[in-house]
Amino acid sequence: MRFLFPVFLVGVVVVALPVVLHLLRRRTRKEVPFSTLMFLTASAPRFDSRKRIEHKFLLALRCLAILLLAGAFARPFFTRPMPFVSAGAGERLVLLIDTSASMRRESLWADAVAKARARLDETGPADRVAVLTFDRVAHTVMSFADWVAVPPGERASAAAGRLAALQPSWAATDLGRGLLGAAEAIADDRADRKAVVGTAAEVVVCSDLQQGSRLEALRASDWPQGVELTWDTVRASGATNAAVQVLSDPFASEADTAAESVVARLRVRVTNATGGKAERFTVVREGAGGVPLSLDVPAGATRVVPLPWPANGAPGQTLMLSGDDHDFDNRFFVAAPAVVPTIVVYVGNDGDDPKGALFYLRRAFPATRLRRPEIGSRPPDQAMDPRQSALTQLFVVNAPLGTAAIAGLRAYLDLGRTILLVLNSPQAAADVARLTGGAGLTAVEAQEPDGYAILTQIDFGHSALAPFADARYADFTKIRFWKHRRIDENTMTGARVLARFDDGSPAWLTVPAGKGQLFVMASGWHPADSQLALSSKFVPLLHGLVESSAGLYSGQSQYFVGDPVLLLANAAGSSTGDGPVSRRVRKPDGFTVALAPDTVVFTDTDAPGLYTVESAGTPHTFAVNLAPSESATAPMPPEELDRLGLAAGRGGTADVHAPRPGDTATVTFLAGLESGQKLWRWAILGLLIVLVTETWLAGLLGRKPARQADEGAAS
Amino acid sequence: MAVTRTQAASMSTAGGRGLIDPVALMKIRSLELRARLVVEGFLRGLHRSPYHGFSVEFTEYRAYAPGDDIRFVDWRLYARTDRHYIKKFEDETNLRCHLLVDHSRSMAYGSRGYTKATYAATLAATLAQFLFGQGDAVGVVTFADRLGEYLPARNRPGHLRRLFLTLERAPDGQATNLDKPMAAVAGLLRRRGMVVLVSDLLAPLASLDRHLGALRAFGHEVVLFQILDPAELTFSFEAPALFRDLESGRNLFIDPGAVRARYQAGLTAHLDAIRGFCRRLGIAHHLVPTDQPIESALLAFLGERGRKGGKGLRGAR
Repeated sequence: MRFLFPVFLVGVVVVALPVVLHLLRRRTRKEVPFSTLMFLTASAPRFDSRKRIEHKFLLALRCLAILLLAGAFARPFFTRPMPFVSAGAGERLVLLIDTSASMRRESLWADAVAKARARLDETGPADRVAVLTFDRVAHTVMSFADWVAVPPGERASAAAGRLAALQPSWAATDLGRGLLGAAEAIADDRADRKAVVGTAAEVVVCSDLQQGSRLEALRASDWPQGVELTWDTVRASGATNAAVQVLSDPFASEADTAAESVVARLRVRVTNATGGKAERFTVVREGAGGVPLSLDVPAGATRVVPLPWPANGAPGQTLMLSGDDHDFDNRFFVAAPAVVPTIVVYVGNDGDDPKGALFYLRRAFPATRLRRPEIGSRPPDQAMDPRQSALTQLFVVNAPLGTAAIAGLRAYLDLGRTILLVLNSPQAAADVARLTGGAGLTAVEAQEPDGYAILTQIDFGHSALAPFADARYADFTKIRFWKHRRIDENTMTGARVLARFDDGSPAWLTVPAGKGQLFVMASGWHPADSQLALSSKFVPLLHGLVESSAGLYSGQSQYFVGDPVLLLANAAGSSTGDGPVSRRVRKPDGFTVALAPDTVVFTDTDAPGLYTVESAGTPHTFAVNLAPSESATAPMPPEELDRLGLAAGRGGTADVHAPRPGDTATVTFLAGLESGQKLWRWAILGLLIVLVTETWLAGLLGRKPARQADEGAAS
Repeated sequence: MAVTRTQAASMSTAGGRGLIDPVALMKIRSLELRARLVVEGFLRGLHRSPYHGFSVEFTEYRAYAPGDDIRFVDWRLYARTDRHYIKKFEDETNLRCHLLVDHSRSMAYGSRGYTKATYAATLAATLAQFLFGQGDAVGVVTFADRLGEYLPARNRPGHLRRLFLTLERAPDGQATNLDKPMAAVAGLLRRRGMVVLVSDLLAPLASLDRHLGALRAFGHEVVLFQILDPAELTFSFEAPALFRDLESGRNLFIDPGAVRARYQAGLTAHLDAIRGFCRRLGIAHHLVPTDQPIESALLAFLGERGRKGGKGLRGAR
């Protein structure tokens, strides 16, 4: 056992005090009331110097209390030989190296690699080492198995060679995932019975430990016992780092003119990281016509300013920031949002009649800036071209289908799309079986004793109904349904009821069909059936169906490095009739990535910049930027790590060598070790117990002489 | 109120006959009950008095005046003299006894489970009960450093109860100052009677003898009961301790073994001084340790009265 502050052990000499007091103690402490002191004179206080100590147990308790107090202040901890340096059983070491974008600053990456190499050079032949990197996720550079596969003398150099081939990425820092990855690697290796090695393990993190590191992953799990954590931090000399981010859509102007001179106002946010020294920065649009904008942002603050921007400029442009010490995050890429065509095909016989459903369907999809709706109509018995239908985002079936149309719609469902089937008559229920290929539904015309039915038991778990989950929008009871078909629930196989009428029969349900699904309504929205078309729920419901059918996600307007990007329907892997269209994505560095025909998500967004999807149609540009959190380059406060129990030395079972005087790293390590063990708490607890016992015992022994005195007086 | 020599002799021998242990007696909370218990037990042990009480004694005649109660007209005398005369009778009581009870804080001391104040109150109540039963008027005066409560001597229904209530109050005075209250008592009790002083007298005597002499000069018969705790008499403490004066609150570290002899010498001198002026003034002085049965004090009191040839014990029944 060692002590972090051994100077406090000097307090042990105070132990002599109770011993002396027990040997030389005034005999009395008790007060005796007496009627009068008129015949009495004061006696000189008498001290007994005794050779025999009375109340030995009490004395022992008092000495123990002083010892515990001195011990608690001296901060004891257990020490054993340093891991991975011992000559005996080897130990596990995980080198976790930060490869996030912030490591591109100055020489941070070189410093981190140098620290990792120094650690590797200290390893012994019996140790097992793994090298991991992390940015958004953890990557294994060299596993424990790879390490032991290399001859012992060449292991460190082999690992160093792999490190030399690495470069920092552009991704954000998720320290939590990195640490969990390291902990999992150790847990997996511990589970490997063939690995004969000591139980001690250590994770050495070589990182800049920036404030923007994410730690959420650790909140859900405990750091494993027996795994030591050591921070090998690297620091940049430049303290100022600012970043720019566009908050608004630069092409939000509704100006119809194509003239580039039309100017929109772009809302730009400039953030100056904590601890920065400079406060004046300049933001300018790259390219001709950009007007520099200077602004002052104090350290740790954020400022949002408007910036002139051509409303109809190039599809992708770049915003530049200058004035700080680090330029890795000084560019922000802005791309024009793509106009999404919305193709909805109505299968039915009614024309543009206000009494029919199509009339309301057309008005549910108005043209917007980002949506270009195309509502088509076709008779229910007409065969359809599967390649044409693949471009359709939603089929609305409101009539008994003819045999010719069934094949095309089933092919459509197999693409993972959705068909909205309105049961405008009990006979239409038979189409469910024809479209799904499974058991069909049976339905009868319901009789409404009250004249109308209302919706109850809405299942907001479905993506089309999720927007109504908020209590403010969840009231469907104002929609009256004059007619509906009562679906026999016994005939529903695998169906999910999304809403019921107040008589308990299903109103809306989904039936899985191939890869897609059939959305069945037991009542239509035309005036003869219900008031649904007049309800405020109608338009969001249909748009929700279109989005869930086409896999569109309208919420994300900006992409950061590593984010998957949903490719638009007209650019997604589909056929247009003239055979497969070759599509590729041109990355910012000029490389192109060919896309498979059925690719709908592009995941190779490994660098910030403008990505262009090139296909037969108009190329589409989307921007990928550096995550804003990566620009928070100030060092992470130690309290943040403490709060998660990640202070250095966490785990506390690793062993250390005797500290070398003046060795700051060793002292820090010892402090971490002590902090992990916190033996002083036990000393304080013991002290409290001893003090309580001493108080009780002293009271007991104090009462006894008093009683004797009283008895003596009485006699 | 007096006791004959024979009776006193017989009572003095009653000391061994089942006297009530003070410890047991003081456990009774009610002072009235304690006093009645002592007096009734005491009287049961006495012979019946050969003197039947006769409190209505003729003293003189007075000429009738309109408004006088015609019941007291002596008709026989009227028959003989043809004049109306009213018969005047002797007062029902012939003794006015005042109990002077010390309520200073030193009386709050007690080493036997009860205080001197409790013992003194019981003794005073016993005397009062006894005297009241004989038809004597009993009053009470409490004092500490100054005069406390004063109940004039009466023999009326309900008076005894008020007297007990006064005696039952806990000592609330400060120091014992015998000078001022005694001077006040001398001014208060003008009519001749008996004054019974119940106190520990643990205070500088100063001019106590002068004030008691003044009472004697007024014709009062003075009886002094000095109540002391056995621990005060023997100072039997063993362990050195911080002694706190109950009256002044002063603390003194005292080793009993070292000071016991000097204490006892001081106390003896104090008691001798008291006995000296009592003897000189013809005052009966009774030193009553609190472990002594109350009946013993009562017997000593009556014995002393008997020796002085008082009027005797009337109404003992």
